[in-house]
Amino acid sequence: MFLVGGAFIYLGIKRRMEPLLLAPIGLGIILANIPGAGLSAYDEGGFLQLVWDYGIRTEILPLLIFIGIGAMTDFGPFLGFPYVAFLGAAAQFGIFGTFLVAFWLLGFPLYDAASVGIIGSADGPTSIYVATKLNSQYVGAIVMAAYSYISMVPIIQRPIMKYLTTRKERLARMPYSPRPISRTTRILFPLGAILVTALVAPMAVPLVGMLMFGNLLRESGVTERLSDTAQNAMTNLVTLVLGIAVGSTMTAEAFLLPQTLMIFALGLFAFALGSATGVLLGKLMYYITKGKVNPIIGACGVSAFPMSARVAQQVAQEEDFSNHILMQAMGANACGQIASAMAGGILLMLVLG
Amino acid sequence: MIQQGLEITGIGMAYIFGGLIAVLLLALLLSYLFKGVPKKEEVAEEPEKPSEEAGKEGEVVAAIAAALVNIEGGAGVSQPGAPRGEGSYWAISGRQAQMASRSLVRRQR
Repeated sequence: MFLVGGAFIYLGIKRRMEPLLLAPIGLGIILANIPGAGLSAYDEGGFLQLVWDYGIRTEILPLLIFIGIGAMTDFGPFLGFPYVAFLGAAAQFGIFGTFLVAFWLLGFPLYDAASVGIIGSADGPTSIYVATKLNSQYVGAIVMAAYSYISMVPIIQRPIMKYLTTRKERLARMPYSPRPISRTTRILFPLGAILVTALVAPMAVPLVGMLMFGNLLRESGVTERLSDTAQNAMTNLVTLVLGIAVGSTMTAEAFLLPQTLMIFALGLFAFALGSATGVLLGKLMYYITKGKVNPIIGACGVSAFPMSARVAQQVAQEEDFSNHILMQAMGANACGQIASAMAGGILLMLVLG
Repeated sequence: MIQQGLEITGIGMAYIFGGLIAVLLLALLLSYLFKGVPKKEEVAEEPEKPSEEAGKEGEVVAAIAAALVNIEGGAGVSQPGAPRGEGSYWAISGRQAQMASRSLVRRQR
């Protein structure tokens, strides 16, 4: 396990793959596996056990992270081009498709299958929230897989964008004429999104509610101090504790299992499936609109914000340097944030009954 | 088992599409009800047309630059019989053409 922890620290620091998370998680793994130190999440009364029990099992830390994400997210590109909502919805098939494979084909128990499927949301806090809510025994591996694949967005999504589209489709231009978004719209949107979520899937309200609370702080224009704290100080502090606490769950007995490898493989499948279904729906929109939608932005329906949008822009520019689809891709990506939080709640609602 | 898995997948995706279509309608409704006013700096200003004076100014600058080049590089190129300096005919005429093209570009702007 020291090697596993060391590998994550190496990937975080040397390879710059999600360093804010992989470095603390790596150190957490090492600390949890020191015999006699009492620092694993399973050692009664230990520091990290307390953090795990009071911070993560109670779902406080993932929800606090959601406030930070909401405060950092600008829904302007989505409000300017809201039709990308279809792409955000399609990309969530990665969650449900993987759940089906894990549950039906691989024989995972219902709750664990749902926890593995949520890796397809490409959203770390949602994965933690759902897996802990379902009391999955694989929380550590699920969170590791989620964050590892989020950091590998360019490697995973680029070939999917390329192989599922033709050159002609990738060359599709999406002229961006930004409609001015009024301040009232920006303020009312988070409130309306909470109401919509409450009507569709009440169990998604904690996730979407905190996301939109953070966004309201950002858009209100009168709570700059709170918005700034949510974006920086609070998110940094929570990330710090969250990373080391997640690492502390990965003791040798809990991690070195054949299921761990399976979870990593399923996580990759979930991520790729979500990106692929987004692109395929993008293709459908391309043909319906007679070439006015570039299908590669479909892959941005997952929640890896804003990396996914950047990759889409790069892929488009590889074909035509003057083709700019970044804002539409950001719109799809911002919608993916709402969609993945909603999907997490819907999955909980359906699995828990 | 298969049926349960398929049900969760099917109903889950239906909920997701339903929820996001509702969010889409919300976004459209809000944008329709509360239309934004473009900020002043967002309104594209028409590029200033080059005035006659600006064009002349460019020509004057080009002429002075060309003259300076002639002086520095050996003024005699265009004057038959004058001693030739370091600058060759091709270099100087090339530089002059470059200056002329710059002033042309400026005029086009």
